Amino acid sequence: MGGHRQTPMAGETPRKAGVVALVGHPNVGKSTLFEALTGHRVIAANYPGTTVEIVRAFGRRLDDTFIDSPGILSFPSRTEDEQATVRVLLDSAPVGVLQVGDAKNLRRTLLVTVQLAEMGLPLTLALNMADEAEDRGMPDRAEELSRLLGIPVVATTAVRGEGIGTLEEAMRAPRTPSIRVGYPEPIEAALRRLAEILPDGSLSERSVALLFLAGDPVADEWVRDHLDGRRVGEMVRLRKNAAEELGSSLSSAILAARIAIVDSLLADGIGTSVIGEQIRNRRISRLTTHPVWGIPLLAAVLFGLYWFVGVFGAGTLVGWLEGALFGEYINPWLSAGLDRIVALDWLRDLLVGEYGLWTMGMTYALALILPIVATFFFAFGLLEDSGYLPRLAVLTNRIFKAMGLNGTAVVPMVLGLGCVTMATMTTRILSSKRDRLLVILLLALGVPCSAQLGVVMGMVGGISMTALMIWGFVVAGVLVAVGWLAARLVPGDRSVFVAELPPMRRPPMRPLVLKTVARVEWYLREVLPLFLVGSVLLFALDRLDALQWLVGVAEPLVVDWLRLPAEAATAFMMGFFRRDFGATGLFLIAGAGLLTPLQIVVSMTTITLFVPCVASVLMIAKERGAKTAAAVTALVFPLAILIGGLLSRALEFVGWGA
Amino acid sequence: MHGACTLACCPECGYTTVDIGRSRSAGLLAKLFSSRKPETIVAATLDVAALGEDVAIAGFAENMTTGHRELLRAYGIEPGRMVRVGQHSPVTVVRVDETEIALEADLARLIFIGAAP
Repeated sequence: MGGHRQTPMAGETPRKAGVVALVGHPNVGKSTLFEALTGHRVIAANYPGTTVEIVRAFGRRLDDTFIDSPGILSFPSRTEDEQATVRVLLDSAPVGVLQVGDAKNLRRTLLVTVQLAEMGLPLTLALNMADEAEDRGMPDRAEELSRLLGIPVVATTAVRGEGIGTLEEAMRAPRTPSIRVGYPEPIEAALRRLAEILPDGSLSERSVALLFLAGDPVADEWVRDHLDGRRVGEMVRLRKNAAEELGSSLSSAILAARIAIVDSLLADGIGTSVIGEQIRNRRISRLTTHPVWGIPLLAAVLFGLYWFVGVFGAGTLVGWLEGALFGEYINPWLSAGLDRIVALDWLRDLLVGEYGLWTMGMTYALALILPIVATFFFAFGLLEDSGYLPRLAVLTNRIFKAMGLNGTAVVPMVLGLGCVTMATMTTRILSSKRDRLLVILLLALGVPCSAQLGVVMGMVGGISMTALMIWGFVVAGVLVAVGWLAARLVPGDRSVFVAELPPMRRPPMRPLVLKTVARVEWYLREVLPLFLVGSVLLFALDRLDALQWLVGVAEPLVVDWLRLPAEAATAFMMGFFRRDFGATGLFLIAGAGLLTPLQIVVSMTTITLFVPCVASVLMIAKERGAKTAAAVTALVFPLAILIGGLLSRALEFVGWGA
Repeated sequence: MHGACTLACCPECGYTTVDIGRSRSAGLLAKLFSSRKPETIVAATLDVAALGEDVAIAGFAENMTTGHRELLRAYGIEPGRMVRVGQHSPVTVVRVDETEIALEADLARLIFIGAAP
């Protein structure tokens, strides 16, 4: 393997600097290559759909702005993340495209190449994951492909930085591919007429016309934005006539013609792999999705996660940091110091009082949340990079089917265990509006984010495994019941499950550690200001005696309905702000011995079912509109309180944990 | 037909009958009272292909949506191509070239297959 510079082509001239879009299938290493070209860190992982939004960064050695786009299977776009890629091509006026393809799946790679070729943009092809192709005994076909397509083709292994220099050299002089796809005459006739109507844009008129004929929603929107109503009407009429004349789906006929070209290219000597023999990773892959062995394997993974995050992170590390470092050294030392130098009582209280910026805001964020999210993000990254997450979709498809969804929904749900706000954005990978709405509701309702999960594991797991199972069953039961009901109320049919399973890989340690650090940094940046603002808010309410009043208002619910001590009302007030903030408050109340095991399970279950945080509500509003965000919030809070009260009575009834 | 409805209705004459493929209870009763096996097997479909076998994709059922047809073809599951069948439960998993694709039985049974050449 190894990247190599292709022979310079006749007439090759250096291009002007500008925007270069990275385009390719999902999970072929676009984000890793983007990082290698720009030095800009983006989260990459081993499952399709890691990138759901556009990221821009300036090249390290090339004077270009690179755009990392979400993966696209083929044009026209089917999902919201694929639509983002079409928007990049139509609207960002790229001076070139870097196609990132999978070196071991040439047929699929070429299917995208022929579509990019039609766009008339200078193209460079990176055959990434060349190491995996080599492991499978496949020869390096970059040179053959370069000759056939008339563009620079470079073999790369982005994760190891191999072939990057050669690729950068090749990208200085990309070329427009020499392939032209011929379509059935009704389509060709329509293309000629449409090309006359379409305005100039960054892509060839033929390719925009093809997107329009195939029914791409972004191309439709682009046409309506750039043409008057009469011309749009003319285009729609041409599309309808072409479909009638053809007698079948235009998009299917367009795809068939492209596949035929790819087949002919492959017949021209490039060839493709035959179905290879079993290798070790495939056997592991088979075990992870096995109907019998997959379940104990999943249980082992969950237990490992529980041990690492709940026992080691939330127990041992929090004990060292919160109990010893902050509790015995930093906080007493800071309080004593401030007692000496700060004369104003209120200022001292603001800094190191009960709701102080340091004693509450910073201590919560650094001593309680930091070790939990760090251990979670490390374990989660390990699962992501191994390729295990998409296999969960296979195992859980039946459960999601009961909720009117399919297994693909597990990806945003599991990502929600990291951060629900991010996961809400990831719902773009789902194929229908209905699925996205249902998953957003479930995410807001009962998927605890990493910090909260760690607190739950530490608190509830600290009581007994039974307590943890009660919490898990109630939360999962509510999710399934609400999902089942919502699926029947939200109009539309369920999407059938089809998904690509990436190869199982041994995660390389360096990217895993860097990814964990980047995520922790991002998390603290988001959490720290909110925790500080939350502390100031509680401090102000306390000073104005409004906190007691608010707690008094909340008391009937907290004390009479949830049957928790009055002190828990403050934690629930914090929970309105951020669920994990509230959970951390409950953690401290439980630490002070104010909660019985029953009350710990009830309080944790209730707060798990709260809306995650202000940021997640804003994200729902951004993704699905303010009305949806308001409806989700209005549904979730009362439901959480209702379930908490019922659970309290049910546990009392059976005599558990009183 | 509504997603949960298990009846099929003729749009011309209004005659209504049970869609055995969609109604579990009707399907069970039909199996119980069936006196003989079907006389002919129309075509083998991917959901019943033997595990570990290489099979050729022969075509798609007419009632498969255009969206699914195009999605499968983009994945490389298209007439004339070979796939290797990995498993059927909890979902069907096939390998096309070096990619594993998982698909539900509802979709796999709309894909006709033939023996490897």
